[in-house]
Amino acid sequence: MLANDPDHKKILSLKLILLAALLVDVAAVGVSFLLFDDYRMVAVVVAVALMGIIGIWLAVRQSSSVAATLETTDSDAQQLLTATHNLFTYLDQELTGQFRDARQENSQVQGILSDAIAKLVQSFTDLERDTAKQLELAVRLSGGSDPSQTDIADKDISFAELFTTIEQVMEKLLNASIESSHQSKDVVQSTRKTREEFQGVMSLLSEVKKIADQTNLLAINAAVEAARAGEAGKGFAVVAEEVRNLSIRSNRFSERIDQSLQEISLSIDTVETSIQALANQSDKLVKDEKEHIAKVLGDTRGFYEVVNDSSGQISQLAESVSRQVGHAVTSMQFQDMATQIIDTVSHRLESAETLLAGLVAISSTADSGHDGGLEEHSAQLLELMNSATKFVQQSHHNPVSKKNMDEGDIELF
Amino acid sequence: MAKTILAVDDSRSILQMVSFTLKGAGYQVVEATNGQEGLAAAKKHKFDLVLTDLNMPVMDGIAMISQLRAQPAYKFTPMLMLTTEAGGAYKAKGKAAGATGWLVKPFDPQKLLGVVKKVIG
Repeated sequence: MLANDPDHKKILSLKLILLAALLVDVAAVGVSFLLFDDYRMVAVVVAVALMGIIGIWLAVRQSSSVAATLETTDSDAQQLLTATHNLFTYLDQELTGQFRDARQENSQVQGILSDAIAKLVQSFTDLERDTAKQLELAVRLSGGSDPSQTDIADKDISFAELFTTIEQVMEKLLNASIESSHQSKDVVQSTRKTREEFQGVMSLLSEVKKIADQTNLLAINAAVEAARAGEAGKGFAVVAEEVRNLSIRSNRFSERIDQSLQEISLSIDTVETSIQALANQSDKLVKDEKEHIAKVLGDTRGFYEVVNDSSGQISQLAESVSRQVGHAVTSMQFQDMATQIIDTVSHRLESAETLLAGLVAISSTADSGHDGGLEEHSAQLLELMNSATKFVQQSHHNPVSKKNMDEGDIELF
Repeated sequence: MAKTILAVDDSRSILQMVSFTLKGAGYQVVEATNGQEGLAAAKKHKFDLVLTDLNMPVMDGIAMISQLRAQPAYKFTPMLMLTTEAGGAYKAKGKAAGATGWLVKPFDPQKLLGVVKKVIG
């Protein structure tokens, strides 16, 4: 039989060894694909593998002595093929599971990242919104102008306006007190002047009394002279008596005026005393309250400055928070970038899995004794390597260009 | 009246961040998660600016821009790419499709706002 022909056995053995060598080459390409994230490295390994295959193939074709030197038997080759197939079957079972688990874990990482980033973005956006509101309130409290304020906000009294109003009211009150004090002093002066004038009137009254007394004396003298004149002086005596009565009435009237003036003078003294007391009290009040108001206004101004300063600091902090949120927004885009990179890794795993499945299928065909010939197996392997190259090319592209989280370039066309 | 921007990205977080940035500056933002959704939104509204990612499922950003540019309503509308891709070949494709500018992620919110204001005021 042809199968028992020693030459045929040697050629068959040669074919099997060549097939095993090719399988090992392709496995090396697959392993290098998994281990090295560099297309050039994979290309070099593929090129070396192809060169090895071509070299072996040329050696087999050109040197008949190769067949003679081959000592491997059919059973050895069959064992080798079986072992190779078992190896690939084992790798297929183990690695396919690993690839599947890795892809699932990649998806899990993407899900966790997506959920976490969504919450983080919401937190940061809420933080910035709240900080902006805080800034608006601080600006309104300190009385600063904010162009974004509405008409309703404009109607609110700011602390600055309130402080100005209080300051104005207190200054008015203080000025009114000072004016009142001055007016009290003026009244005291006027009262004193009135009393002095009254004293002048009273001295005039004493002069009137003196005149009345002298008139009375003259009337008495006239009566005496009239009595001396006898009958001729009776008419004159009547006149003298009337003059004397008039002087007496004048004296009484002067006394009544003097009494009234004395009472008025006492009242003026009382008024003067009261007004003087009021003026003194007003003076003291003005002096005390001026210091008190100055202190209150000073404290209020100090408080206002603290509020204003705090408002300024809040404003600076709000701007800082806004900047930090901006940086956080930039940094949080790592999720989008990481997700795309993980997608690329998953595609690489998928390619490796497809490559492994192809190797397993080919080794299975060879192990089953399918007499497809060396050319058919070689064609399958070359096709597999071409597919591998295609997979590598497809999965080699990394859609994320940045290597860090610095902001990306901007280009307007 | 506030200007309206169409933001297209398959990443929800990026859409959140873009919307937050633009809405904070007074723009109205309509979101879409792929090019096809973006085209559907563009039929319902006339946007003042289109801001789109490149790599998206269903329809990518360049294909969407290309189809939008073919519509008379969007012949002169600014369209910006916001993507992780920075390769010259991609930029050339985007420019040929009608993109107005190319912004590489990650973006700085203030810089993004600066570009948007420069483009549509």
